[in-house]
Amino acid sequence: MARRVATVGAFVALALIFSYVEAIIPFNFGIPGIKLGLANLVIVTGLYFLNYKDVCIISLLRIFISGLLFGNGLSLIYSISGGLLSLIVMIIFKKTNIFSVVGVSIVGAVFHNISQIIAAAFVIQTSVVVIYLPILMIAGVGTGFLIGFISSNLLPILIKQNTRQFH
Amino acid sequence: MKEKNIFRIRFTDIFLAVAIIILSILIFFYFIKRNGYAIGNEVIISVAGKEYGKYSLKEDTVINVETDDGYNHIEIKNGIVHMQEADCTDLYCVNQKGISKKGETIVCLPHKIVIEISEGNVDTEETEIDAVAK
Repeated sequence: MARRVATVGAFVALALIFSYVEAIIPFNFGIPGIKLGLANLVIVTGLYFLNYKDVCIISLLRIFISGLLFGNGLSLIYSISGGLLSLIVMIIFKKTNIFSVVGVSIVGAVFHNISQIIAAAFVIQTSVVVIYLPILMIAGVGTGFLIGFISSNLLPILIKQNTRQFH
Repeated sequence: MKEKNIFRIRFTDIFLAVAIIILSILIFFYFIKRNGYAIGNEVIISVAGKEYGKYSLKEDTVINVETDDGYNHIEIKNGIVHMQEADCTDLYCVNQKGISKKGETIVCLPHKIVIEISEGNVDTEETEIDAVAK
């Protein structure tokens, strides 16, 4: 139990640091509204390293704490809808066992962006924002690929270290 | 064996990425087709889903929109609509290029402002008046 709490705590802390880094240095590739989603690296890695329940806790804690620290009430709505939808879709895609970490990360990023559009449509009460759907979906493929690639190189090391230490 | 494969990019991943990109391009062309290349005439400004006002694209003017969240100065000049100034948090709307064609939009998310260009009926009114005058 203590080990589980410590691991969840470490993951939340790491996700918060990534959120902070992105808040001060936005990696938006020159397109406004698009970001790398470094914090998603922690969630994707967590999906393969911890159980789903812990990943949900990490995701929610990160969203609420980073919302309080770096955002405002409105950005919290976007974060929650994006975080939850992408997490659910990533778990479904992971369970199919058809895709690798990269594929799961890509759908996570794409559905995160789709949910941002849906949230924006609700907040400003208009459907014209769907115009941004194609560009945000393509951006999701790009950022999701990068995050998935990093995660798939990180995970074997993490798992190896973990078994060496505790078994 | 199966464990190892999870960390290597599979064919299905590439297939998924390509499928999403193709789908996005199809959606993009659908939007273009729906809007057509028609020249817009009317500028519709709405705040939080409610219409704020309609303006002609042909008349140069500056519209000052005051919302509960802050102000936006929208400039219409030479048939191009541009967000001149705003006190929103991200300033994406101000940095965005001007719009002039039907279906194009400028969105200021923090202030819930949407500027949209529509075909409008400004021109048809003019032709009607001309027809009557003749």
